[in-house]
Amino acid sequence: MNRTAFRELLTQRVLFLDGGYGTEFFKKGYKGAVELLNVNEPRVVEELQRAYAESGSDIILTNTFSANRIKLRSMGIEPYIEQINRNAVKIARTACGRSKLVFGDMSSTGIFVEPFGTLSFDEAYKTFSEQATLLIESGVDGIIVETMSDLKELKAAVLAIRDVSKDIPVIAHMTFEADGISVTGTSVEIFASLFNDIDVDVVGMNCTLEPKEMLPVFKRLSERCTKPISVEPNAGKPSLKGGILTYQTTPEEFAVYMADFIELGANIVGGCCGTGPEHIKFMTNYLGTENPRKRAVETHQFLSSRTQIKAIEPFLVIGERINASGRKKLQNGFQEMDFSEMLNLARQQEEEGSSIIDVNLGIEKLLTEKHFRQAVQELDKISSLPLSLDVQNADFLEAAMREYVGRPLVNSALVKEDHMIERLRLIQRYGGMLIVLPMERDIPQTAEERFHIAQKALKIIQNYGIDPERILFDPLVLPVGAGNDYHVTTNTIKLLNEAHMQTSIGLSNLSFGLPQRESINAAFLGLAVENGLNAAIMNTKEVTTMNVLEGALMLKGKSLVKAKQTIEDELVNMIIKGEKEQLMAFTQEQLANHDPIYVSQNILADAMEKVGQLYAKGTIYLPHLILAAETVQPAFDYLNGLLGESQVKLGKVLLATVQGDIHDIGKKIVGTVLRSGGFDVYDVGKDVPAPDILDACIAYKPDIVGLSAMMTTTVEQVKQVSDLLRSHGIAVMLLAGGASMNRQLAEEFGVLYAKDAMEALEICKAFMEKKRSSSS
Amino acid sequence: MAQVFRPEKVNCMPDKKIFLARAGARYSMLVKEHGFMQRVNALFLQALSQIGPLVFHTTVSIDQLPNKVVPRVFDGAKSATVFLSTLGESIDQLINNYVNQGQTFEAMILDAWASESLETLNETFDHKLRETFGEGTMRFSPGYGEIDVRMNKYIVKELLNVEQITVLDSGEMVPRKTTTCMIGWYK
Repeated sequence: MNRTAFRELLTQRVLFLDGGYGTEFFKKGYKGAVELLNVNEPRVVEELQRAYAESGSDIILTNTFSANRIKLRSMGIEPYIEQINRNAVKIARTACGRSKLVFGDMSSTGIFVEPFGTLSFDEAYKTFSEQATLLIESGVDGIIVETMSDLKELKAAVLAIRDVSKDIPVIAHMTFEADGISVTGTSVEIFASLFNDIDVDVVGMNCTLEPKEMLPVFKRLSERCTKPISVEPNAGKPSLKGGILTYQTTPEEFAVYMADFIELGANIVGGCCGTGPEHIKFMTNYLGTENPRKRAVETHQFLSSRTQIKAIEPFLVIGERINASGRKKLQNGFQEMDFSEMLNLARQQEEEGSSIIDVNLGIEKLLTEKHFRQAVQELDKISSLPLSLDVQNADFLEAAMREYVGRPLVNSALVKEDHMIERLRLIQRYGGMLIVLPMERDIPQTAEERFHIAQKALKIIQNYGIDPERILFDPLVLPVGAGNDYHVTTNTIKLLNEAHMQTSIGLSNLSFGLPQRESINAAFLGLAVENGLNAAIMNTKEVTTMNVLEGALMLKGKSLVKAKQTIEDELVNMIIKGEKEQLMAFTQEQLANHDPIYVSQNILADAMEKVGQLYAKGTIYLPHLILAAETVQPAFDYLNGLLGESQVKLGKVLLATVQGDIHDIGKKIVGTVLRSGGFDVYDVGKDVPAPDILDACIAYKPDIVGLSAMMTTTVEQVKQVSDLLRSHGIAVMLLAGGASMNRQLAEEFGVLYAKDAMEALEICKAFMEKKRSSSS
Repeated sequence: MAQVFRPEKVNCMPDKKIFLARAGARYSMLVKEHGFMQRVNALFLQALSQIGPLVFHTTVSIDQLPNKVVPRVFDGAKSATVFLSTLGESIDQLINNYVNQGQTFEAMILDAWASESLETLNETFDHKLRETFGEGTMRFSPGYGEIDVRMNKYIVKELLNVEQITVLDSGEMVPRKTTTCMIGWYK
């Protein structure tokens, strides 16, 4: 099926996707790498897919969720990659013939993409490209990428698929927590704003949440996504009934809630973990044939980073100070891959009220693609504001856009066909908005000429298939000190505004070479706003200019959206921002007045406690938490080095991912946070059999054993470990976590449950405190 | 002797848009209010767990039916299927309990749900009959047109002989979520 036919089908009726695979195989007693069933026991897969087809699914997924090279390698079955993927398509076709659509199922590699993991964007891209090629060559009707928690990894997957085939229908899904934010800090709104641009056919969400939890999160997607939308909730949380892992959401409940998703505008509905053919059958019987609902979608434009989203309305303040042109120190820093000043400027401009920040690395001849990629990664690490990529060289610009996580602004394109087409191509491929300068070779002298060229540009933009709302026209601000008439600019703004074309200026150029620049800039900005200006690249350090902007907007009945509440504790701020060197200097300063134990326990540990509270409140996200833990660790190590044998450790924690489960990220995060909280952590790896955990307990004598189980198929291993340790008289506190664990299940297994790393830290601290007080 | 059809519960699940409209609400607006829909969905599932739907039915020659039961729209029909559908007593009790506890919102939603559930059941059975008998008249119930609602007593007690249903002199039936229907067949 080609994209046109698929899109047409989506306008005709709501389509039904199938349900879970891993959990269904598990119910039948299959464990481990279920993708290998495609090779060893294809009939088992075919039987399930036939049941889904008979239950009314329109779309059947291939059994290839984890069948990318990296994931298969971690499971020790990499050599089977081709067989697994090719067989999967054959099996699905055999099960449902041509009467159903067969979509290739793809998901995460299991490793975070840089900067939060070790996988480069290009490696991720290649990995997905390989799997997509296998699936498409084998004849799938489309591809779904699902359960992605990292926007960057999803972007890599979709770009890879699209490069394999321009005409294959693609569905892109992320997975969110109940607050509508992924574990990597990306909100539903950020996801929607980027994937409204990226070339996929359907945008949606799946897994993690049961229907009633997912409904309000999905509503947010339905209000922001301009494309058809899809959804696959879990069937509730797993629990153990009579030794069998079951999911709580009944087929009846599932069907009742799925009606609400359709009413909210879902074009495709199906199920994820815990749903089986009965759920799908009940849903299709109840819902029958439904027409897709019309949705009212938010039409305003937004720019985003991984964790922050900013509207163009009522006014976009673009911080200008990361600009190495004429700033030798900054330029030298960039050349040497030292981005510390850039990060400082990013933070300052955020605090001053910038909505987004312009990044200009200066003389590009002195730089390489790597500089641009690294700059983008460094800013991503500190969860910066969205970026305006002020890059001249198209290759460098593409490298930056490829690496960027979110929806950027591209600054800028000239109305010279090649120059403009190249930048239109980039925002079409990677998403984002574009500033267009209404000039060809020379700068037009009158407002009418500038307006005329802007209209010419508009035609090129429309012919290219880009929504003009994604364009900001720069009416060209020239230095008044050189005799330029500023009225030409304000008149151009007026003409463009009357033609409903959005505008952005480079403000500071106006006062170049003049005294009292701030006053001049402020006065001009007031005039420009009055004439309808939408955005300005400006110096947010200029208090007068910022105040005048605020006043000018107030006169028009608008107001600037205030920057998010800043974190007032300087030490906490330093830690969250990843300022390792400053923290070390601070730690050393404190030693002048306090002993190392005091600094460790009463200052650093206290600050980390506050970081934990900010995370719990949702003020900061997981990337901040990891960065904070990594930042504080060297300071703790330094203090412990001073203490030598007398160093205080809160306790020993042994961490392991249970047998059959190769997920590692969650456990590593817990380890990092526990270490930064003062625990000695022994991580014995992933896929660890229960007897090996027992041996490790005997060797390390931990106070606490932390077990991670991501898969519903491996969660029972937690109980096995628990039983084994108890039967050998190992007196440890057992703590379990991971996507498939929950409080109820933990109680049934006789272990404690931690929903995330911070809760794990709190539980471990409370346990050790109790242990100490009972022994003293 | 009447035959009995035991439907699956999915055959009694009403369209939310319609039962909410019965309750005076608009689904497309309510669905955006998460808390509200949570309550409605919880009631939907509670009601679904309570019903015990049954259909008693018999198909007879038109000549065997008293004139007072046969509507004019059945002209030309040679036979008719007469059926009684009920959701059972428990749903009445559930609604009454809410009323007695002063939980009018819950009672109102459930009452609308049950009425539409019964209609959904009738629709299901109607389709099933038409698959068997082919072309027929519209579905008709006593209380509409020229057929007196009090004919329910004859239909329930004499024609179908259903003991579980009480028919009052007014023609109303207990359990309340019970209807009688007829469809005439031309062949």
